[in-house]
Amino acid sequence: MEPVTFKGNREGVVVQLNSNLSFEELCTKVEAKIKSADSFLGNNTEVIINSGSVVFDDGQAQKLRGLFNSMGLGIKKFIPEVNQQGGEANDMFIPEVIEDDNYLLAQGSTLMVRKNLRSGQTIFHEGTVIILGDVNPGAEVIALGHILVLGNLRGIAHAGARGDTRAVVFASRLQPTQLRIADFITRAPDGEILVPSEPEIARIKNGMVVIEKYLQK
Amino acid sequence: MGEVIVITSGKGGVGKTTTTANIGTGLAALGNKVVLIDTDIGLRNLDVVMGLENRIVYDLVDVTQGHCRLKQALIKDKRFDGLFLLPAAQTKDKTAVSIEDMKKLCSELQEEFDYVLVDCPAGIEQGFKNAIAGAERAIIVTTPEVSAVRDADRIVGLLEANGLRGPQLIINRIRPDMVKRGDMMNIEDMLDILAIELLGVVPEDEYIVVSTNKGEPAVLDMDSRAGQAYRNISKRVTGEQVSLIDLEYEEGLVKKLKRLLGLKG
Ligand SMILES: Nc1ncnc2c1ncn2[C@@H]1O[C@H](COP(=O)(O)OP(=O)(O)OP(=O)(O)O)[C@@H](O)[C@H]1O
Ligand SMILES: [Mg+2]
Repeated sequence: MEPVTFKGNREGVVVQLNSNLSFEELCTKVEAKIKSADSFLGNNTEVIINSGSVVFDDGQAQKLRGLFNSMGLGIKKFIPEVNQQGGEANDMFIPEVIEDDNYLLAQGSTLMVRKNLRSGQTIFHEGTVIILGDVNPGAEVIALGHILVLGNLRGIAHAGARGDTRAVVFASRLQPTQLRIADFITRAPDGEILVPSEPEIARIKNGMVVIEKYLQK
Repeated sequence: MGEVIVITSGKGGVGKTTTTANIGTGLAALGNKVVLIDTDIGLRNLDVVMGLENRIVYDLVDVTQGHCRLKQALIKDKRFDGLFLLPAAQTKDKTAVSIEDMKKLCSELQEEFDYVLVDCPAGIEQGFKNAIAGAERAIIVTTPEVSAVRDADRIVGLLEANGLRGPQLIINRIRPDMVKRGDMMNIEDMLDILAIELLGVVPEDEYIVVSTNKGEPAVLDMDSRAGQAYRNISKRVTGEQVSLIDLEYEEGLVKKLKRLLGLKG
Protein backbone atom coordinates (compact mmCIF):
# COMPACT_ATOMS: atom_id res chain seq x y z
CA MET A 1 0.00 0.00 0.00
CA GLU A 2 1.24 3.46 -0.90
CA PRO A 3 2.05 5.47 2.24
CA VAL A 4 0.06 8.50 1.06
CA THR A 5 -2.62 8.51 -1.61
CA PHE A 6 -4.94 11.22 -2.86
CA LYS A 7 -8.48 10.44 -3.88
CA GLY A 8 -11.29 12.70 -4.90
CA ASN A 9 -14.77 11.98 -3.65
CA ARG A 10 -17.98 13.96 -3.36
CA GLU A 11 -16.75 15.83 -0.35
CA GLY A 12 -13.43 16.84 -1.84
CA VAL A 13 -9.88 15.56 -1.82
CA VAL A 14 -9.26 12.72 0.61
CA VAL A 15 -5.71 12.08 1.74
CA GLN A 16 -5.44 8.41 2.65
CA LEU A 17 -2.63 7.66 5.10
CA ASN A 18 -1.09 4.23 5.55
CA SER A 19 -1.70 3.22 9.12
CA ASN A 20 1.41 1.05 9.36
CA LEU A 21 3.85 3.94 9.36
CA SER A 22 4.96 5.97 12.35
CA PHE A 23 3.61 9.50 12.63
CA GLU A 24 7.01 11.05 11.80
CA GLU A 25 7.41 8.90 8.70
CA LEU A 26 3.92 9.85 7.59
CA CYS A 27 4.70 13.55 7.89
CA THR A 28 7.76 13.23 5.67
CA LYS A 29 5.82 11.19 3.10
CA VAL A 30 2.94 13.65 3.13
CA GLU A 31 5.27 16.56 2.50
CA ALA A 32 7.02 14.81 -0.38
CA LYS A 33 3.75 13.71 -1.91
CA ILE A 34 2.14 17.14 -1.78
CA LYS A 35 5.18 18.80 -3.28
CA SER A 36 4.99 16.38 -6.20
CA ALA A 37 1.25 16.91 -6.59
CA ASP A 38 1.29 20.69 -6.37
CA SER A 39 -0.65 21.57 -9.45
CA PHE A 40 -3.24 18.89 -8.91
CA LEU A 41 -4.31 20.16 -5.51
CA GLY A 42 -4.28 23.89 -6.18
CA ASN A 43 -3.97 26.55 -3.51
CA ASN A 44 -6.11 26.82 -0.36
CA THR A 45 -7.68 23.44 -0.98
CA GLU A 46 -9.19 21.91 2.13
CA VAL A 47 -8.53 18.21 2.29
CA ILE A 48 -9.99 15.38 4.34
CA ILE A 49 -7.47 13.23 6.18
CA ASN A 50 -8.34 9.55 6.36
CA SER A 51 -5.97 7.66 8.62
CA GLY A 52 -7.86 4.36 8.50
CA SER A 53 -7.75 2.65 11.84
CA VAL A 54 -5.34 5.13 13.38
CA VAL A 55 -6.86 7.86 15.54
CA PHE A 56 -4.62 10.91 15.83
CA ASP A 57 -4.47 12.84 19.04
CA ASP A 58 -4.77 16.59 19.35
CA GLY A 59 -1.06 17.24 19.13
CA GLN A 60 -0.61 15.14 16.03
CA ALA A 61 -3.62 16.75 14.39
CA GLN A 62 -2.13 20.15 15.18
CA LYS A 63 1.19 19.14 13.60
CA LEU A 64 -0.54 17.88 10.47
CA ARG A 65 -2.53 21.10 10.20
CA GLY A 66 0.68 23.08 10.51
CA LEU A 67 2.33 20.96 7.85
CA PHE A 68 -0.58 21.40 5.43
CA ASN A 69 -0.88 25.12 6.15
CA SER A 70 2.80 25.63 5.45
CA MET A 71 2.15 24.28 1.97
CA GLY A 72 -0.84 26.50 1.33
CA LEU A 73 -3.43 23.82 2.07
CA GLY A 74 -5.95 23.29 4.82
CA ILE A 75 -7.52 20.33 6.58
CA LYS A 76 -11.30 20.17 6.50
CA LYS A 77 -11.67 17.20 8.78
CA PHE A 78 -10.18 14.01 10.06
CA ILE A 79 -11.62 10.52 9.61
CA PRO A 80 -11.76 9.05 12.17
CA GLU A 81 -12.19 12.16 14.26
CA VAL A 82 -9.28 13.38 16.29
CA ASN A 83 -9.06 12.11 19.83
CA GLN A 84 -9.03 15.22 21.96
CA GLN A 85 -8.63 13.61 25.33
CA GLY A 86 -5.94 15.45 27.23
CA GLY A 87 -6.36 18.41 24.92
CA GLU A 88 -5.06 21.78 26.01
CA ALA A 89 -6.96 23.85 28.50
CA ASN A 90 -7.72 26.64 26.06
CA ASP A 91 -9.26 24.21 23.62
CA MET A 92 -12.63 24.15 25.28
CA PHE A 93 -14.56 22.34 22.58
CA ILE A 94 -15.07 18.70 23.15
CA PRO A 95 -15.14 16.91 19.80
CA GLU A 96 -18.58 16.73 18.38
CA VAL A 97 -18.68 13.00 18.48
CA ILE A 98 -20.27 11.50 21.47
CA GLU A 99 -18.84 11.88 24.91
CA ASP A 100 -18.15 8.86 27.04
CA ASP A 101 -21.17 9.07 29.29
CA ASN A 102 -23.45 9.54 26.33
CA TYR A 103 -22.94 6.28 24.58
CA LEU A 104 -22.28 2.72 25.27
CA LEU A 105 -20.62 0.39 22.91
CA ALA A 106 -22.78 -2.67 22.52
CA GLN A 107 -21.28 -6.02 21.56
CA GLY A 108 -19.46 -6.13 18.29
CA SER A 109 -19.22 -2.82 16.60
CA THR A 110 -22.55 -1.19 17.26
CA LEU A 111 -22.47 2.38 18.47
CA MET A 112 -25.45 3.55 20.50
CA VAL A 113 -25.90 7.28 20.67
CA ARG A 114 -28.20 8.53 23.38
CA LYS A 115 -28.87 12.10 22.31
CA ASN A 116 -30.10 14.28 19.47
CA LEU A 117 -27.51 14.95 16.81
CA ARG A 118 -27.66 18.64 16.05
CA SER A 119 -26.59 20.75 13.11
CA GLY A 120 -22.83 20.56 12.64
CA GLN A 121 -22.40 17.33 14.57
CA THR A 122 -21.00 14.31 12.76
CA ILE A 123 -20.65 10.70 13.69
CA PHE A 124 -18.39 8.29 11.91
CA HIS A 125 -18.35 4.69 13.02
CA GLU A 126 -16.87 1.53 11.57
CA GLY A 127 -19.96 -0.53 12.24
CA THR A 128 -23.65 -0.06 12.85
CA VAL A 129 -24.95 3.11 14.47
CA ILE A 130 -28.13 3.30 16.53
CA ILE A 131 -29.35 6.78 17.43
CA LEU A 132 -31.79 7.01 20.32
CA GLY A 133 -32.93 10.45 19.29
CA ASP A 134 -33.19 12.72 16.26
CA VAL A 135 -30.69 13.47 13.54
CA ASN A 136 -31.39 17.12 12.74
CA PRO A 137 -30.85 18.96 9.46
CA GLY A 138 -27.16 19.77 9.15
CA ALA A 139 -26.06 16.72 11.16
CA GLU A 140 -24.42 13.72 9.49
CA VAL A 141 -24.09 10.05 10.35
CA ILE A 142 -21.61 7.91 8.43
CA ALA A 143 -21.44 4.20 9.19
CA LEU A 144 -19.74 1.30 7.53
CA GLY A 145 -22.73 -0.77 8.62
CA HIS A 146 -26.42 0.04 9.13
CA ILE A 147 -27.92 3.23 10.49
CA LEU A 148 -30.96 3.01 12.74
CA VAL A 149 -32.57 6.20 13.97
CA LEU A 150 -35.29 5.82 16.57
CA GLY A 151 -36.37 9.45 16.17
CA ASN A 152 -36.56 11.72 13.14
CA LEU A 153 -33.86 11.48 10.52
CA ARG A 154 -33.72 14.87 8.85
CA GLY A 155 -29.97 15.22 8.29
CA ILE A 156 -27.60 13.18 6.16
CA ALA A 157 -27.13 9.43 6.57
CA HIS A 158 -24.52 7.37 4.76
CA ALA A 159 -24.73 3.64 5.49
CA GLY A 160 -22.36 1.06 4.08
CA ALA A 161 -19.94 3.92 3.57
CA ARG A 162 -17.13 1.70 2.29
CA GLY A 163 -19.31 0.17 -0.37
CA ASP A 164 -21.46 -2.37 1.48
CA THR A 165 -24.69 -2.45 -0.50
CA ARG A 166 -26.37 -4.68 2.10
CA ALA A 167 -26.51 -1.80 4.57
CA VAL A 168 -29.90 -0.30 5.44
CA VAL A 169 -31.12 2.95 6.91
CA PHE A 170 -34.09 2.83 9.28
CA ALA A 171 -35.88 5.75 10.92
CA SER A 172 -39.15 6.28 12.75
CA ARG A 173 -39.54 9.30 10.52
CA LEU A 174 -37.33 8.99 7.50
CA GLN A 175 -37.04 12.43 5.92
CA PRO A 176 -33.31 12.88 5.30
CA THR A 177 -31.79 15.81 3.45
CA GLN A 178 -29.72 13.21 1.69
CA LEU A 179 -29.46 9.47 2.05
CA ARG A 180 -26.58 7.37 0.81
CA ILE A 181 -26.07 3.65 0.85
CA ALA A 182 -22.71 2.49 -0.44
CA ASP A 183 -22.29 4.53 -3.64
CA PHE A 184 -25.98 5.21 -4.19
CA ILE A 185 -27.38 8.63 -3.36
CA THR A 186 -30.90 9.89 -3.01
CA ARG A 187 -32.01 13.25 -1.78
CA ALA A 188 -35.18 14.86 -0.54
CA PRO A 189 -37.40 15.97 -3.38
CA ASP A 190 -37.28 19.74 -3.95
CA GLY A 191 -40.32 21.66 -2.83
CA GLU A 192 -43.10 19.68 -1.21
CA ILE A 193 -42.16 18.19 2.17
CA LEU A 194 -43.85 14.88 2.88
CA VAL A 195 -43.83 13.79 6.48
CA PRO A 196 -43.90 10.02 6.69
CA SER A 197 -46.47 8.74 9.15
CA GLU A 198 -44.76 5.51 10.05
CA PRO A 199 -41.31 3.95 10.33
CA GLU A 200 -39.55 3.33 7.05
CA ILE A 201 -36.47 1.50 5.90
CA ALA A 202 -34.22 2.29 2.95
CA ARG A 203 -32.12 -0.30 1.16
CA ILE A 204 -30.59 -1.11 -2.20
CA LYS A 205 -32.76 -3.21 -4.47
CA ASN A 206 -31.91 -3.84 -8.09
CA GLY A 207 -29.34 -1.09 -8.11
CA MET A 208 -31.63 1.55 -6.62
CA VAL A 209 -32.34 2.99 -3.20
CA VAL A 210 -35.83 1.79 -2.30
CA ILE A 211 -37.78 3.14 0.64
CA GLU A 212 -40.46 0.91 2.17
CA LYS A 213 -42.69 0.92 5.18
CA TYR A 214 -41.04 -1.00 7.96
CA LEU A 215 -44.15 -2.78 9.19
CA GLN A 216 -45.50 -5.02 6.46
CA LYS A 217 -49.19 -5.68 6.80
CA MET B 1 -25.33 34.56 44.51
CA GLY B 2 -26.70 35.67 41.18
CA GLU B 3 -27.16 33.85 37.93
CA VAL B 4 -25.07 34.31 34.77
CA ILE B 5 -27.17 33.99 31.61
CA VAL B 6 -25.77 34.18 28.09
CA ILE B 7 -28.00 35.36 25.22
CA THR B 8 -26.83 33.76 22.01
CA SER B 9 -28.05 32.70 18.54
CA GLY B 10 -25.39 31.67 16.05
CA LYS B 11 -26.94 33.69 13.25
CA GLY B 12 -26.47 37.44 13.33
CA GLY B 13 -29.15 40.08 13.53
CA VAL B 14 -31.89 37.93 15.05
CA GLY B 15 -32.32 40.09 18.16
CA LYS B 16 -29.75 39.11 20.82
CA THR B 17 -28.93 42.68 21.74
CA THR B 18 -32.59 43.74 21.68
CA THR B 19 -33.40 40.77 23.92
CA THR B 20 -30.54 41.45 26.35
CA ALA B 21 -31.57 45.10 26.72
CA ASN B 22 -35.23 44.27 27.21
CA ILE B 23 -34.87 41.35 29.60
CA GLY B 24 -32.22 43.25 31.54
CA THR B 25 -34.46 46.28 31.88
CA GLY B 26 -37.45 44.05 32.58
CA LEU B 27 -35.62 42.26 35.40
CA ALA B 28 -34.49 45.58 36.87
CA ALA B 29 -38.06 46.89 36.71
CA LEU B 30 -39.05 43.87 38.79
CA GLY B 31 -36.60 45.04 41.42
CA ASN B 32 -33.58 42.89 40.64
CA LYS B 33 -29.94 43.99 40.60
CA VAL B 34 -28.83 43.40 37.02
CA VAL B 35 -25.66 43.90 35.00
CA LEU B 36 -25.46 43.57 31.22
CA ILE B 37 -22.15 42.67 29.57
CA ASP B 38 -21.66 43.46 25.88
CA THR B 39 -19.10 40.96 24.54
CA ASP B 40 -19.43 41.99 20.90
CA ILE B 41 -15.99 43.58 20.75
CA GLY B 42 -15.58 45.85 17.74
CA LEU B 43 -19.32 45.96 17.06
CA ARG B 44 -20.70 47.14 20.34
CA ASN B 45 -24.24 48.42 20.36
CA LEU B 46 -25.90 47.36 23.58
CA ASP B 47 -24.96 50.80 24.94
CA VAL B 48 -26.83 52.47 22.07
CA VAL B 49 -29.94 50.34 22.54
CA MET B 50 -29.83 51.21 26.25
CA GLY B 51 -29.27 54.88 25.47
CA LEU B 52 -26.05 54.96 27.50
CA GLU B 53 -23.47 55.55 24.78
CA ASN B 54 -22.53 59.03 25.98
CA ARG B 55 -21.59 57.78 29.43
CA ILE B 56 -18.89 55.29 28.39
CA VAL B 57 -15.44 55.94 29.81
CA TYR B 58 -14.02 52.47 30.29
CA ASP B 59 -14.95 49.17 28.68
CA LEU B 60 -14.64 45.38 29.00
CA VAL B 61 -11.08 45.30 27.67
CA ASP B 62 -10.00 48.06 30.07
CA VAL B 63 -11.25 45.85 32.89
CA THR B 64 -9.64 42.61 31.74
CA GLN B 65 -6.34 44.36 31.03
CA GLY B 66 -6.36 46.07 34.38
CA HIS B 67 -6.59 49.65 33.06
CA CYS B 68 -9.39 50.33 35.51
CA ARG B 69 -11.30 48.69 38.31
CA LEU B 70 -14.43 46.75 37.46
CA LYS B 71 -16.59 49.21 39.43
CA GLN B 72 -15.27 52.12 37.39
CA ALA B 73 -16.32 50.57 34.12
CA LEU B 74 -19.90 49.79 35.14
CA ILE B 75 -22.31 52.38 33.76
CA LYS B 76 -25.44 53.02 35.78
CA ASP B 77 -28.68 53.03 33.83
CA LYS B 78 -30.68 56.26 33.55
CA ARG B 79 -33.91 54.67 34.67
CA PHE B 80 -33.14 52.01 37.25
CA ASP B 81 -30.75 52.19 40.17
CA GLY B 82 -30.16 48.45 40.11
CA LEU B 83 -29.22 48.24 36.42
CA PHE B 84 -25.68 48.49 35.07
CA LEU B 85 -23.89 48.02 31.74
CA LEU B 86 -20.36 46.88 31.06
CA PRO B 87 -19.82 48.04 27.45
CA ALA B 88 -17.72 46.27 24.83
CA ALA B 89 -14.55 47.85 23.50
CA GLN B 90 -15.07 49.46 20.13
CA THR B 91 -11.56 49.72 18.83
CA LYS B 92 -9.45 47.19 20.64
CA ASP B 93 -8.21 43.83 19.52
CA LYS B 94 -10.77 41.05 19.73
CA THR B 95 -8.23 38.67 21.21
CA ALA B 96 -7.76 41.02 24.17
CA VAL B 97 -10.26 39.02 26.23
CA SER B 98 -9.68 35.39 27.16
CA ILE B 99 -11.97 32.66 28.40
CA GLU B 100 -10.29 32.85 31.79
CA ASP B 101 -10.89 36.62 31.93
CA MET B 102 -14.58 36.09 31.28
CA LYS B 103 -14.92 33.36 33.89
CA LYS B 104 -13.29 35.56 36.50
CA LEU B 105 -15.35 38.59 35.54
CA CYS B 106 -18.64 36.72 35.63
CA SER B 107 -17.97 35.14 38.99
CA GLU B 108 -17.04 38.53 40.44
CA LEU B 109 -20.22 40.15 39.13
CA GLN B 110 -22.29 37.21 40.27
CA GLU B 111 -21.34 38.01 43.86
CA GLU B 112 -23.04 41.35 43.67
CA PHE B 113 -25.85 41.08 41.15
CA ASP B 114 -28.96 38.93 40.93
CA TYR B 115 -28.58 38.57 37.17
CA VAL B 116 -25.57 38.89 34.91
CA LEU B 117 -26.74 38.95 31.27
CA VAL B 118 -24.10 38.38 28.60
CA ASP B 119 -24.88 39.66 25.08
CA CYS B 120 -23.06 37.27 22.77
CA PRO B 121 -21.72 38.20 19.31
CA ALA B 122 -22.94 36.30 16.24
CA GLY B 123 -20.97 33.26 15.11
CA ILE B 124 -19.21 30.44 16.92
CA GLU B 125 -15.70 31.88 17.09
CA GLN B 126 -13.68 33.23 20.00
CA GLY B 127 -16.30 35.84 20.89
CA PHE B 128 -18.89 33.10 21.33
CA LYS B 129 -16.53 30.98 23.41
CA ASN B 130 -15.81 33.98 25.63
CA ALA B 131 -19.46 34.86 26.03
CA ILE B 132 -20.47 31.39 27.18
CA ALA B 133 -17.39 30.80 29.35
CA GLY B 134 -18.79 32.18 32.59
CA ALA B 135 -22.45 31.34 31.95
CA GLU B 136 -24.48 28.70 33.72
CA ARG B 137 -27.68 29.28 31.81
CA ALA B 138 -28.35 30.09 28.15
CA ILE B 139 -31.14 31.79 26.23
CA ILE B 140 -31.12 31.12 22.51
CA VAL B 141 -32.78 33.66 20.23
CA THR B 142 -34.04 32.67 16.81
CA THR B 143 -36.32 34.05 14.14
CA PRO B 144 -38.83 31.94 12.18
CA GLU B 145 -36.41 31.24 9.35
CA VAL B 146 -34.86 27.92 8.41
CA SER B 147 -31.32 29.29 8.49
CA ALA B 148 -31.74 30.88 11.93
CA VAL B 149 -33.23 27.70 13.36
CA ARG B 150 -30.40 25.66 11.85
CA ASP B 151 -27.85 27.90 13.53
CA ALA B 152 -29.76 27.79 16.80
CA ASP B 153 -29.61 23.99 16.63
CA ARG B 154 -25.86 24.13 16.09
CA ILE B 155 -25.56 26.38 19.13
CA VAL B 156 -27.56 23.96 21.30
CA GLY B 157 -25.09 21.23 20.34
CA LEU B 158 -22.05 23.40 21.07
CA LEU B 159 -23.46 24.52 24.41
CA GLU B 160 -24.11 20.92 25.34
CA ALA B 161 -20.55 19.96 24.41
CA ASN B 162 -19.40 22.69 26.77
CA GLY B 163 -21.52 21.50 29.65
CA LEU B 164 -24.27 24.12 29.31
CA ARG B 165 -27.42 22.08 29.31
CA GLY B 166 -31.10 22.96 29.19
CA PRO B 167 -31.00 26.18 27.15
CA GLN B 168 -34.27 28.08 26.68
CA LEU B 169 -35.63 29.47 23.44
CA ILE B 170 -36.98 32.87 22.44
CA ILE B 171 -38.62 33.09 19.04
CA ASN B 172 -38.38 36.68 17.83
CA ARG B 173 -40.08 38.59 15.00
CA ILE B 174 -43.03 36.27 14.60
CA ARG B 175 -45.65 37.63 12.22
CA PRO B 176 -48.95 35.97 13.10
CA ASP B 177 -50.53 36.91 9.76
CA MET B 178 -47.73 35.21 7.83
CA VAL B 179 -47.79 32.12 10.03
CA LYS B 180 -51.53 31.92 9.47
CA ARG B 181 -51.07 32.00 5.71
CA GLY B 182 -48.42 29.30 5.97
CA ASP B 183 -45.73 31.69 4.72
CA MET B 184 -43.70 31.57 7.90
CA MET B 185 -42.37 28.68 9.98
CA ASN B 186 -44.73 28.02 12.84
CA ILE B 187 -43.72 27.70 16.45
CA GLU B 188 -44.39 24.00 16.68
CA ASP B 189 -42.14 23.22 13.70
CA MET B 190 -39.30 25.06 15.37
CA LEU B 191 -39.81 23.36 18.72
CA ASP B 192 -40.02 20.00 16.97
CA ILE B 193 -36.50 20.40 15.61
CA LEU B 194 -34.85 22.21 18.50
CA ALA B 195 -36.50 20.20 21.27
CA ILE B 196 -35.71 22.76 23.97
CA GLU B 197 -37.88 24.69 26.39
CA LEU B 198 -39.72 27.73 25.05
CA LEU B 199 -39.17 30.87 27.11
CA GLY B 200 -41.29 33.16 24.98
CA VAL B 201 -42.40 34.47 21.62
CA VAL B 202 -41.83 38.09 20.59
CA PRO B 203 -43.88 39.48 17.71
CA GLU B 204 -42.48 41.62 14.93
CA ASP B 205 -43.07 45.15 16.15
CA GLU B 206 -42.16 48.47 14.55
CA TYR B 207 -41.85 49.92 17.99
CA ILE B 208 -38.61 47.95 18.48
CA VAL B 209 -36.98 50.10 15.81
CA VAL B 210 -38.32 53.29 17.38
CA SER B 211 -37.19 52.26 20.84
CA THR B 212 -33.75 51.18 19.61
CA ASN B 213 -33.23 54.59 18.06
CA LYS B 214 -34.45 56.38 21.18
CA GLY B 215 -32.37 54.22 23.48
CA GLU B 216 -35.42 53.20 25.48
CA PRO B 217 -36.11 49.47 25.69
CA ALA B 218 -39.60 48.52 24.47
CA VAL B 219 -40.22 46.59 27.67
CA LEU B 220 -41.02 49.92 29.35
CA ASP B 221 -43.65 50.89 26.78
CA MET B 222 -47.07 49.70 27.79
CA ASP B 223 -48.42 50.00 24.23
CA SER B 224 -45.77 47.87 22.54
CA ARG B 225 -46.68 44.25 21.87
CA ALA B 226 -43.05 43.23 21.81
CA GLY B 227 -42.66 45.12 25.07
CA GLN B 228 -45.48 43.08 26.61
CA ALA B 229 -43.81 39.89 25.41
CA TYR B 230 -40.53 40.95 27.01
CA ARG B 231 -42.27 41.84 30.27
CA ASN B 232 -43.66 38.32 30.42
CA ILE B 233 -40.34 36.78 29.43
CA SER B 234 -38.57 38.73 32.18
CA LYS B 235 -40.97 37.30 34.74
CA ARG B 236 -40.44 33.79 33.37
CA VAL B 237 -36.68 34.25 33.70
CA THR B 238 -37.22 34.73 37.43
CA GLY B 239 -39.20 31.50 37.54
CA GLU B 240 -42.66 33.03 37.65
CA GLN B 241 -45.29 31.27 35.57
CA VAL B 242 -46.87 33.64 33.07
CA SER B 243 -49.16 32.57 30.29
CA LEU B 244 -48.38 33.52 26.72
CA ILE B 245 -49.74 36.74 25.33
CA ASP B 246 -52.54 36.03 22.96
CA LEU B 247 -50.93 36.25 19.58
CA GLU B 248 -54.40 36.28 18.10
CA TYR B 249 -53.94 33.57 15.63
CA GLU B 250 -54.48 29.89 15.28
CA GLU B 251 -57.11 28.85 17.77
CA GLY B 252 -55.71 26.37 20.19
CA LEU B 253 -52.11 27.28 19.64
CA VAL B 254 -51.97 29.42 22.73
CA LYS B 255 -53.22 26.44 24.66
CA LYS B 256 -50.57 24.21 23.17
CA LEU B 257 -47.90 26.74 23.99
CA LYS B 258 -49.09 26.90 27.55
CA ARG B 259 -48.67 23.19 27.75
CA LEU B 260 -45.19 23.44 26.27
CA LEU B 261 -44.33 26.06 28.86
CA GLY B 262 -45.66 23.80 31.54
CA LEU B 263 -48.56 26.11 32.40
CA LYS B 264 -52.03 25.07 33.34
CA GLY B 265 -55.17 26.20 31.55
N1 LIG C 1 -39.30 41.93 17.43
C1 LIG C 1 -38.73 42.80 16.56
N2 LIG C 1 -39.49 43.55 15.73
C2 LIG C 1 -38.92 44.42 14.86
N3 LIG C 1 -37.60 44.60 14.73
C3 LIG C 1 -36.77 43.87 15.50
C4 LIG C 1 -37.29 42.93 16.46
N4 LIG C 1 -36.23 42.37 17.10
C5 LIG C 1 -35.12 42.92 16.57
N5 LIG C 1 -35.43 43.82 15.61
C6 LIG C 1 -34.47 44.61 14.81
O1 LIG C 1 -33.55 43.73 14.20
C7 LIG C 1 -32.26 44.30 14.16
C8 LIG C 1 -31.24 43.37 14.79
O2 LIG C 1 -31.50 43.25 16.17
P1 LIG C 1 -30.32 43.06 17.21
O3 LIG C 1 -29.26 44.09 17.03
O4 LIG C 1 -30.94 42.95 18.55
O5 LIG C 1 -29.78 41.65 16.76
P2 LIG C 1 -28.46 40.90 17.21
O6 LIG C 1 -28.79 39.46 17.21
O7 LIG C 1 -27.93 41.49 18.48
O8 LIG C 1 -27.47 41.27 16.02
P3 LIG C 1 -25.88 40.98 15.94
O9 LIG C 1 -25.75 39.54 15.59
O10 LIG C 1 -25.43 41.89 14.85
O11 LIG C 1 -25.32 41.32 17.29
C9 LIG C 1 -32.35 45.63 14.87
O12 LIG C 1 -32.44 46.63 13.90
C10 LIG C 1 -33.63 45.53 15.67
O13 LIG C 1 -34.23 46.78 15.83
MG1 LIG D 1 -25.91 42.26 18.92
